[in-house]
Amino acid sequence: MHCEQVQPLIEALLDDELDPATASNVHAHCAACPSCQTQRRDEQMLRQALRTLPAPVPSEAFRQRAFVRAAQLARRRQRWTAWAGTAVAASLALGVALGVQWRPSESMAVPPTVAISVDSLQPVRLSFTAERSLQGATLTLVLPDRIELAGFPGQQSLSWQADLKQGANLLELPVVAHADAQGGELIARIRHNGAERQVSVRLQVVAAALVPSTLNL
Amino acid sequence: MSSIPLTTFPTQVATFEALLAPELDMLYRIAYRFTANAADAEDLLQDLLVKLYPKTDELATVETLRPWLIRALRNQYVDSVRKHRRSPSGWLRSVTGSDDEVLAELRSGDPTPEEAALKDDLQGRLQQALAGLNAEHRVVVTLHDVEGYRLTEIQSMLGVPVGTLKSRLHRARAQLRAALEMEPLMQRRRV
Repeated sequence: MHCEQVQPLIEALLDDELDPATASNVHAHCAACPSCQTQRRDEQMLRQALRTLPAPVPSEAFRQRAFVRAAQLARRRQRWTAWAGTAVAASLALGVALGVQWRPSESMAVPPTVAISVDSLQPVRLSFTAERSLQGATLTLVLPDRIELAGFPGQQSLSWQADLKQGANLLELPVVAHADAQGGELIARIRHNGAERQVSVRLQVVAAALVPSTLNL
Repeated sequence: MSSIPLTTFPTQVATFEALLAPELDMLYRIAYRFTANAADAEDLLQDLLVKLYPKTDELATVETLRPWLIRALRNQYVDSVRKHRRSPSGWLRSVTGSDDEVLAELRSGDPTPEEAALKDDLQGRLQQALAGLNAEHRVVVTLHDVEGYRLTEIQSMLGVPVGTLKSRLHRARAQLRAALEMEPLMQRRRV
């Protein structure tokens, strides 16, 4: 057999999918051919590494609560479906309970400033604290000129539906500033059942070396 | 949708748990391979259990539960990936803990010591390479190369032809090899 015939068969060989005669021929070729031998060894190493990956186990807390929680959530979902037609009035009261805070300063008067460098992807983090879980809230972001979110080029505003859990919810935005970006205010709005809260952060575009902490993605 | 009478709640939960508790570790392990982190694995598995609970009676009649569950988990995973692609929902996550811990999360963009240590070994890099595969490729590598199921078994589980599975497996392995060959360990191996 030649290398061109053997190399496409090496995966099948190691997957034990070749008939005995072909497998024997592939083995014989590999024994005499350093190149195919190396390929077979690489394939074996990859399989060995995959087969011996650590086997994670669920946390004890998850193990203890998973089934009862599943039952509770399934029943709640069923009740929610059943009562969806009359939920509008109740949701008005729920909207009042929407509590969103800008975490670090607690003050909305002066937006905090975050330094970002040009042409590198880096996270800008906002935290919202919801007094209770909010299903189907609408999050809207408005960005300064020439500053974008990774994966959404050219979009200065972006809205999507999200579920906020009770307590702190961290929004990590993959921000990219173009070379000609001047900076400005990034606004995040959360709307739920007619109630709306807004937080903003001032993005200051600086030279790359001045940004203390960036996430390399 | 059929209703669940209140009086059957404890009994049904007990039946549900009795059916699925023996499979919980297996499901979690595969969920972890799919999602590449513990929090997302728990979320994926919890979502699956919520979906399965109303089907407790049906589960009790399934002759070989494990392949049935793996198929359900794969479908749940692929659905969650599609949902994630349609929106930037992955940017938002819940943070538990004290206010100080939340503030620490806000400040820190650097990898945790655990994350840094992971990058220093082959398994960590392999986990990262796996995380770079698309959902269908990750599913077939997980089930075949990590969990050890044969292609014919995976075909039965997922309803995907063996030829398609082979093709996905080949492309996925090529991507893993390419990712690992850039790493120091592969260079050391060649010395």
